[in-house]
Amino acid sequence: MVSCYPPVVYSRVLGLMSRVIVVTSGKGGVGKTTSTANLGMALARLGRQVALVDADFGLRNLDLLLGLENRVVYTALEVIAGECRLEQALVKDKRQNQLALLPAAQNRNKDAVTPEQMKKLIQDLSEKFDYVLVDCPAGIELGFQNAIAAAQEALVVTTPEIAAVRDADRVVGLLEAERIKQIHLIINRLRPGMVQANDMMSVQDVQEILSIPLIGVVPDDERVIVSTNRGEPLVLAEKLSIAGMAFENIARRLEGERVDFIDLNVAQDNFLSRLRRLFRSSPR
Amino acid sequence: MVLGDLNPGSSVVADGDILVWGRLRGVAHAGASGNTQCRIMALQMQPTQLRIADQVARAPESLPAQFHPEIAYITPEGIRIARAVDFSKK
Repeated sequence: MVSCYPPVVYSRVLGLMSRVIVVTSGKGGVGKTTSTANLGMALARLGRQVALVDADFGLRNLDLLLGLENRVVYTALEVIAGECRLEQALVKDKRQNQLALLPAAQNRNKDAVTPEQMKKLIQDLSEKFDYVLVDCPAGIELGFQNAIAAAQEALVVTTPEIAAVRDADRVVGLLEAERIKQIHLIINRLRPGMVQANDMMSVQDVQEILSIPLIGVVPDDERVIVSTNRGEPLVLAEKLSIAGMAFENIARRLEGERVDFIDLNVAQDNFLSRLRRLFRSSPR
Repeated sequence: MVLGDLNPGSSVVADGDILVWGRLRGVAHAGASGNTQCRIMALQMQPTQLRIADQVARAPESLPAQFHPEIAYITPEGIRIARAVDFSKK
């Protein structure tokens, strides 16, 4: 399946220092926060110290997806204002103590913080953690600038829709302008059936437009909604869903492992489609 | 005093007492300037978080079978909730 993810790139960075990765997309609702929550949890399960930073001031959601909403006491804003220490604001995950969340403030908007303050904050975090994942807000305004201020790498999330790909393309340009060179693509909510029927852009189509290396493809899955509602990331499930598996694979690729892409076509294969294919391929 | 519901994700901060005439589902912080005598009252208490002065409490995981008007106040063991009917008897 399509061009493979180069593990060489990361082995260089590995073991040296913590990695600050921003998860961004441009468009809203494509799965930035879901990806951040799941990748953070998956990396923590791989034995890494992970800090998740919600940079979506005013519209925070990451705490919800992790099921940590009721444990938020201080937020990044109080840390920046010097009203509390960084450790006080960090919410340790109850299921995985390798994972900590720095929540965003809910009662202010994105102008409350400057990129310099964000940079300082994330630098402090990166001294204690192996990974700092920053959940970027939608848009390319100050919130975006804040989120990417301290990032060395970026994961661009997109869905196979023209609008999302267009925005992702714009974001890739902006990231490159900010000298973030390690940019990888996550294609989210792919529906293999629709791709086969030519009703949806394929992985190749999206890659052709964005021309950044692919790090994972996540299929559309109802269980994502269930996991969001429950506040339990997919990768925690006992029996992993395909989307959960996809996220786990992305985390392992981030770690420098070489993991084959899941063949999504097989996953949604059923008796009928197999029968249809049989007829199509039979010589007449 | 809030007339109406306080939904999840919202928060009320007050220097004095908080009275919610409706459902309290968000975060409520009474006595924000440090008054530990402050109380939080609600017709239906199912908060994300309760704070009184410098203390923080989370709601129990399971919801009660029935809702009564309740009052949250500070005790030496932390923040406690009592039914309004029982509270007034003390």
